[in-house]
Amino acid sequence: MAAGARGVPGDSVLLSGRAAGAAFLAGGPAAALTGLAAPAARALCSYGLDTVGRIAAAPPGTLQRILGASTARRVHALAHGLDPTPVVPGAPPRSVAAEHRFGHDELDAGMRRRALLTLADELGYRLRGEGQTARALTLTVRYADRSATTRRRRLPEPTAHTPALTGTAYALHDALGLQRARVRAVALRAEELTETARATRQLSLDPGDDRRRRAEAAADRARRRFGPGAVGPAGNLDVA
Amino acid sequence: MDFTHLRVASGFSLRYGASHPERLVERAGERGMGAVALTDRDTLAGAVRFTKACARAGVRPVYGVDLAVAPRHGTGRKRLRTPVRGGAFGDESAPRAVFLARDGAAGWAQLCRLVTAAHAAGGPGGQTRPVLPWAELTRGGLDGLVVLLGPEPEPGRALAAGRPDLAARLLTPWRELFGDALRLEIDASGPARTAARALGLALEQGVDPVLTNAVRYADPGQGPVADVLDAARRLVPIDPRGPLDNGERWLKDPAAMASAAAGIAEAAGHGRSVAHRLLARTEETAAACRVHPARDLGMGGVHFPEPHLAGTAGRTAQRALRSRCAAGMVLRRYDRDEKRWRRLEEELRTVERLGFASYFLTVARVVDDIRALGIRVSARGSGAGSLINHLLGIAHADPVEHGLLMERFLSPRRGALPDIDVDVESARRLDAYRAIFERFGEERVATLAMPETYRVRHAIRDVGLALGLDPEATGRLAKAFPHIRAADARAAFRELPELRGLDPDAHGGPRMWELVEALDGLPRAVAMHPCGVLLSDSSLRARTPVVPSSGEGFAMSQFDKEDVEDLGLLKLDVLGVRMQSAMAHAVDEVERATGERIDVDAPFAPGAAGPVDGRTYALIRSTETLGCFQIESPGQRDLVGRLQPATFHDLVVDISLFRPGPVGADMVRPFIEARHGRRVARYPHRDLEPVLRETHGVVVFHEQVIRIIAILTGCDRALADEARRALSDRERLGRVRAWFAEEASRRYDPEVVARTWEIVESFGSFGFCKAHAVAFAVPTYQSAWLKAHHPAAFFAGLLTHDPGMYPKRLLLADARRRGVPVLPLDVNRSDAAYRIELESESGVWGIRLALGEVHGITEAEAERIAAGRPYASLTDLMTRAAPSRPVAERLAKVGALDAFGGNRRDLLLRIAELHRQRRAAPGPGWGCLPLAGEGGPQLPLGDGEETAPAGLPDLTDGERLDAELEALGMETTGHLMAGHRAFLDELGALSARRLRDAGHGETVLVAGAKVATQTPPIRSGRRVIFATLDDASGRVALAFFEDSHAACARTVFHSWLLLVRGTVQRRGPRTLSVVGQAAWDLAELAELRRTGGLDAVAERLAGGDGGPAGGSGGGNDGEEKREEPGPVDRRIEMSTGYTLHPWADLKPPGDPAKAPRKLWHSSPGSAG
Repeated sequence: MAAGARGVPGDSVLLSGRAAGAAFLAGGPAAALTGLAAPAARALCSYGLDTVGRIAAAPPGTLQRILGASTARRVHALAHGLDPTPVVPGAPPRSVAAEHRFGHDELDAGMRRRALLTLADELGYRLRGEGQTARALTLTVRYADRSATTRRRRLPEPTAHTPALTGTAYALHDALGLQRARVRAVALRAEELTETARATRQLSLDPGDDRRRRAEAAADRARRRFGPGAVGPAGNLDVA
Repeated sequence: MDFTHLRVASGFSLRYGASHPERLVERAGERGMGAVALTDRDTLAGAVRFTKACARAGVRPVYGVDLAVAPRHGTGRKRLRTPVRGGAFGDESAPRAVFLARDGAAGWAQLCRLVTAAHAAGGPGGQTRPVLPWAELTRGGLDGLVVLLGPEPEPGRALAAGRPDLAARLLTPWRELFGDALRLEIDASGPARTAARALGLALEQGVDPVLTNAVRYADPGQGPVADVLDAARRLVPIDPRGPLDNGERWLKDPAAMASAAAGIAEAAGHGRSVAHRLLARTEETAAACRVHPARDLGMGGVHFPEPHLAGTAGRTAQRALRSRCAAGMVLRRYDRDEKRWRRLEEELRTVERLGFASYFLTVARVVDDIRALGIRVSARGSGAGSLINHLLGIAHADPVEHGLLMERFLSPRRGALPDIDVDVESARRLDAYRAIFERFGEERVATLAMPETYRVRHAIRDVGLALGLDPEATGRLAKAFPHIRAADARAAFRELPELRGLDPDAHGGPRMWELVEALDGLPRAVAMHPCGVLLSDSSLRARTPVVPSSGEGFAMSQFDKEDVEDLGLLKLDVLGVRMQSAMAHAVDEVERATGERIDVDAPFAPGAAGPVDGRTYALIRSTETLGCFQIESPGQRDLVGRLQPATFHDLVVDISLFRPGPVGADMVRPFIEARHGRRVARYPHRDLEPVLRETHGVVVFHEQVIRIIAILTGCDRALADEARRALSDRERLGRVRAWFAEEASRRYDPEVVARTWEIVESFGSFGFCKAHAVAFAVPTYQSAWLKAHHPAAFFAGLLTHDPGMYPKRLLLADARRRGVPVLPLDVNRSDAAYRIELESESGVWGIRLALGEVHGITEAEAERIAAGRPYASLTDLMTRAAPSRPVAERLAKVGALDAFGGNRRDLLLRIAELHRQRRAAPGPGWGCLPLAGEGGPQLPLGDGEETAPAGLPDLTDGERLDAELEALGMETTGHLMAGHRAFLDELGALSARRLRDAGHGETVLVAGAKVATQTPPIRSGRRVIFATLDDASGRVALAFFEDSHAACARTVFHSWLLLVRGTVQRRGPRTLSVVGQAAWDLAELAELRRTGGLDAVAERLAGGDGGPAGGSGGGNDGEEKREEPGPVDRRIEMSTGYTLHPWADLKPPGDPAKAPRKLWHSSPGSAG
């Protein structure tokens, strides 16, 4: 964490002793504390606790009142230089994301859905390639004034099956009910990734489901052989 | 062969039509058409201009309106869910039909009725678009109209969908209602197939077809402008894939329309004869629609309300007026004065001749009603010159005593309606309107419309939206412009120094600026005029359509104030003047706190000593007139300082002289010299001495000019007033000169005549109406009196109603400097408005800050907090008063809750917790374990009287200041420049007090918070930027001349704290100003000092003439060098021979981006 705060990549800083470590941290901004979400950092700043030193100096009871018990304990420890999270080298990413930018304001819901279809297809392909499944899907819609809306939904079961991802993406998009919004980009992020081997799958009595999965597997094999653009849903934006 | 366009939308069809009605008429005339219709969407507002343009062009006008008609069986449109962002699509699905007036006045009245009904259904302020309910059509009484059904209404749509049978059936209800008056519109601008089908349907069903072109603009090639307007109306960017305007909907000449008719007939499978019939029917329809402007629209006549409503009690208006005036004479004890009786008789005869007795009685009634509500009211303007007005109680000042003339106000030679303006307390203006509505009834009263037209900022924003450009960049570009006309956008880039650094082509390209300029002057929205009220007899609604206005929902006529005069409707201006509200508040405060009831009108009552209080004039002479009516601006304070008024008459003269005309014509200097005895007053002839004696031989007032002309030529004063008006008109000036020379030579020597004419010509057009000045001088005196005798109450009134030009923080600073203590915001003591309070230590009256000043607080919240005082603890406040969270946080940050605990951040934490609890457990007894007991709900944490310390760092002084400025817009603990004092001393900048001792020509550094920027028109035609800075010790006046604009203008307009280097100019022992050469943003420099040290600051100061770091604005480095804006060579020549800089005297721009509220005044002509 300290390295992330003020180091140049490739540089190393030597700190000897607890006190030096605390002093090094103390000047840093609150946002430097890893694992501290932006809203929590903003809340601390609004109470005047904008440097790590001040956070360390604040009474733990006050931190609890501002952040809630568990976050406060963690933040208190972090501010004193104690970070209990294990360092895992080369861990797989916790989420996979894909974004599509329109070159203009896209007011047509149909075009947006096609973009979502393209993104969901790409995400599904990547997940299946890595042998992972996703448990949650987050949709981010960005507008011309650079603001964004984010919606998140948990899938009923962990999956990397494109129609399931697409259906959820459509549902998230339609729930927004956008009419005049000047949409400039849409992004999908698959989260809560777990390995496929550990995921469960609810079997269905519908034979179509099984057929779709087999078609998908076949399409994946074709794509691995001939490139990712070889096979894809008809509604893909690149095709149009 | 002629053709009349029957469906024409002008710019008055908001965000639909792209041409002004005048332009359309011009083109119609040029293209050889004998008549043209105006059928705007949902409005008749353009009718008067249309009529006048038609008269000029020799084209016959046809009147109509394009309304949406609710389908008979509901729209069947699903309600979509509310979108999370960006808003919903507008509903434009209702089909539209065109109604043309056929039978003169009856037709016009029916049009008005329909428009009124369509808007009434739409809700106040047009929340939903106006739609005519079907029931209105079935009501009948629409025989004076011709109806055109075009491609839009249901029959047309069914046709377009390929269902002619359905179309025929849908026609039936229309045929039942309108019979022969129904026409089917064949739209030549749309696809030929649709037109052909419509023609086929018409022939089949036996309904007469007419040919139109659905005109939206006057010339070809305006299609893109129409697209931008559509985008602006529907609030979506133009869809390049979607339907764009086809560019065909212009006012085509008859030949083009004939060939279109032939084409359509052919497409429908018929021959030339059908085409001829189509054109013939169109002409017949047009010929049948006859409305004569003067006879039928009521133009040129006047319609007063019925006299009995004004209280004549059965007599004629003239007799009633006479008897009321006589009563007034007795009341004011003038009944022995022969001179006044003669004057009254003269005035009454004039009124009788013109037939205006009813008007005076009506206005008197209105004023009485308003006064009865306890609202301060007085007349302003030339009406003060009439003795009748004075006797009826409309005007305060005595015209005979002040030498005011009736002829200036009402003259038998000028048939026009006199204009009486009435000032009322701004806070109670709507009460005054309601009184008028109640007295005369809804069917006789309406307010006026004020169309808001496109100026450059809105044009840029709307074109940016239409082209799909980045909204943030568009917004920045728009704000950089001052409020100029959209047509001047590209010229401004070349000429205005503050736009330097912006590349016009970087944003949307040259196409964007073409579109911006094309939008110039088109109406964008309609608002209610803030002052005007229409009074008429009960035929009002047959003469003008009346729609509900937004906000209060008063019935509003669609015409604006000029059109209304042409239509012969009586207009009364009821202006809300904030100074009146401020004075009323001050008087009420004194009464509340001490029980003493002050009457500020007492000196002007009949029989009183008059306005002669010495302390008041002493205050005025000291130029410490901040907050006083009319005399608080830097220029006025300068003039007052030189003039040194000692009597009421001096005030009247001061107000008359302080205008660009007299200043430019150099009338001020001779007057001041004469007054101080340094010059002897000279009169061209001794006959003129009585007239000019009051102003030491200098002509100042219109009334004096009238008298001079009358004396020299021997004519009556009404003719003299006409001559005076002609003086400002170059064309008529020559004739007046000749007439004057001829008449005057018969009585006086040529030398006298020549001398007098010289004076009259040069000063005549610059004089001021003394009646106006007297009406203004009354509140000037009253406000100065209040400031001198009851300063705390006066400031309380000013801060509550904010009448003046300066930001409130300056008023507070002035109060402190005058020794009025400022008591901070405290929930246990403050009220919703500003109050006076006795300060315990000094025993002096102080001002307690108001809860209403807190940013974002609603009136209801402020009242609640004030009503629940005193509060025992923070919990108590949150429980009983329940302010919203942001408001509670702001109160904590500015120290209003300091009684509940020392550390403001701890209080913020507490507020957050209380708020969370309240949200988690709504309902009575929120927060917790109901402990039995008197204290009410107690928190489990055991909240005592004070909040336990939570160990958070408290706000530093800098943070407190920021919080005060953000929440209140003013600093309460100390002056905001105090924190910069150390830095300024390092730089060697002088404070305002030390500046007073500086020598003429010295180069100095000064700094302060900007409180005003002005760019008034100057005689030489140059543009000068005046700015006023405020630091803790006083104010500094700055002037920036054109040579410094390139470097300084941007900084001066858009920064708040300034550091300026310049030379001192002394113009007298008291008056000095600094001519600026370089300007920097002080906040930036302070930041630079903090990060880079004094050296970095020195480097920046030495590095140039100021302006933002890095030279021209970022973003366009590496492009080819843009031409530096050159000096502006063009000047505007006014008819008075006076040259004006083209960018001076523009409308004020908006607030700057950084400041949360108005932190300084910016005048017409200033970009910031």
